[in-house]
Amino acid sequence: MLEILNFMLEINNIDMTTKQQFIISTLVRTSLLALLGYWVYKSEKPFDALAYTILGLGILIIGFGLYFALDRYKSAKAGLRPEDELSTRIKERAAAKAFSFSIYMWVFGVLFMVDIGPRAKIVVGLGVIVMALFYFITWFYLTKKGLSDEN
Amino acid sequence: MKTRIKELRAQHDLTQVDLAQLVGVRRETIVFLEKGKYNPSLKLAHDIAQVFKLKIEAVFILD
Repeated sequence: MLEILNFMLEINNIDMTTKQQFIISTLVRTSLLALLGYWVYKSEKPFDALAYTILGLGILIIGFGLYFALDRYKSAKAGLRPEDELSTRIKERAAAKAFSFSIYMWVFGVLFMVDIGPRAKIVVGLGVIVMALFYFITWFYLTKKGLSDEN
Repeated sequence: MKTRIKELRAQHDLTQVDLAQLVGVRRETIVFLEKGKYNPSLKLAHDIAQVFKLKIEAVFILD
């Protein structure tokens, strides 16, 4: 209980914009997790491999989001900026890479959808999840590696 | 690009967090700058040089 109170006080000490961003992103992640939980709870059919894949990817995306939120929080707690020019450039680079990757992915996806007919909706949903995951993995990789190739 | 940030930081008795606070960036940015894994913007290069009271070319050296 004391740890939770301490955490709340620490959040209170960081600046308003960071605080709002942290609260909003935590709410979004909690809602996504709740939605996944609701889907698992309400699901009447036993889970197949595809359902487990979607569930796993969803949890992985939420996990990545949480990691980046905590990283920003740690920076703000140390009295530093949670976002700066490098982190912005990394996010832009990750988004660009996810977009270029998705172009090829959707071409294969469309070819695949021709054969599967009614399950096309699942392929589209899975494609969006894979795009988000590719974005987070690239973001994570670049935060560890840096942008040394940039001129 | 090579930098003398680590050497200058030691001379001025500054930690990575101190320098990051002075120039308004995250600590990771200072880490990558010291390792030569990030080319800073002109403004950041200027701000860092200002901290050490040097010219930009005395802190950042092009290979």
